Amino acid sequence: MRLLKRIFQILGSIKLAFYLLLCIALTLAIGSYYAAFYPKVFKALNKYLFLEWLQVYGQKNTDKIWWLFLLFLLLFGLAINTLICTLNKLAYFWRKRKQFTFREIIYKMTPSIVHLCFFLGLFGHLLSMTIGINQTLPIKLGKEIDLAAGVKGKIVGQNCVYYPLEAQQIKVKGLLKQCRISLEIANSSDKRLIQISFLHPVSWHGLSFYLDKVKTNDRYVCLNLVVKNDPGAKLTLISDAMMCMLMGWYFMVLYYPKRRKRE
Amino acid sequence: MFGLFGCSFKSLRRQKGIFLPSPKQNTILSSLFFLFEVLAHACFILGAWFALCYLRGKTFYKEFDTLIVFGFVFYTIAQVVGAYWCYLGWATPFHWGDRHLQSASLWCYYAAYLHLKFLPNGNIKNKAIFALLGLGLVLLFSYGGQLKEIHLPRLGA
Repeated sequence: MRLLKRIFQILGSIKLAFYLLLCIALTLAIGSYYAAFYPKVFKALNKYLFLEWLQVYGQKNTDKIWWLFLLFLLLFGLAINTLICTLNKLAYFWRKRKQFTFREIIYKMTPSIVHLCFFLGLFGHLLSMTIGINQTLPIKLGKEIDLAAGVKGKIVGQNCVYYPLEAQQIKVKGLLKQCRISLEIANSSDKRLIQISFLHPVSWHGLSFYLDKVKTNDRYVCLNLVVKNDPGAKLTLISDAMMCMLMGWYFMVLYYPKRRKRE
Repeated sequence: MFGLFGCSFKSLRRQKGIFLPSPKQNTILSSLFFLFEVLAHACFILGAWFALCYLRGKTFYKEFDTLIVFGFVFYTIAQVVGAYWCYLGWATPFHWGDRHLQSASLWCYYAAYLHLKFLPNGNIKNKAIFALLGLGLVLLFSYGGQLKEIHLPRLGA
């Protein structure tokens, strides 16, 4: 029992968090150079779920992706560490709740809630990488396409806007400004015409439709349709936003009263 | 400083042009992302400068810690805004590319800095050294990529 308690203490220690964060920073830095030198291998990770990517690209490039496994191992360690540390702190404040006012206890618990949000964000990334649907298809006007989850689609319209040729900035002349695609989608029970453009995705029956582009050079682009069902993205974005707001508030309260006293 | 002037002079003489607009940049999120990222970099760089002054015996400059902490807050805001922008434009909150990996690396480094004060050897001198080392990462990751604009080898994203 004592050994178990000791292991629990080590796993939840701040010292471990510090060294894990440093190791993750180093691994990410190394990985970024692999991603820069072998973009084809790593950019494909955005188009596939992790296990699919591993089968298609990973097996052929084991010498280039070793750092990913190290990164996941370290992130797993950090997630466990964050969870134990946070639960320990929350339990501690729950026991001591009668010694503080409501405002004090909320303030003291904020770092723990921030850590919990970080943990949820990591969990969201894990969900995004491992489950759901991730499909990328080239856009061809008038062609019927088989989309994920038994959905059929047809591109019925494409309207692209370019920077005018008489633009004052010589370099932007004729560059793509925005594109709008009309897509007819249908499953066994429903049918709809949707319009998607860059930065304006549309959701329908649990699927999200995005317009993406592949740059061939500065002037010419190929358009792609991205179909996604990403159960982790919303969890990641909401928990990250919460983390950000709480952290900002916490540090503002922590640093500004001190300044007022000094003045 | 001489190095900075040298690079600036070289970039003026051999400039390669402006960054061209992309349809995916046509959003307020892109402006917010760059605003907070630049603010964070400014805090990290100024914090490192203050840390250097502190290490040289000028105790007035111990405010470097506040700068680094708020730099981290700004950097987190930039990353969250960037994730939302990426989600709308590229269909994912995290893009597996060198730029995002280096940003995540920098974020983890400064997150480690925040945890340093809870360690037995997390005194102000060690924090100053840590802040100073962070400057190297900021310059390498955030501005190393610009070296290719002046025909030098590209080192960052």
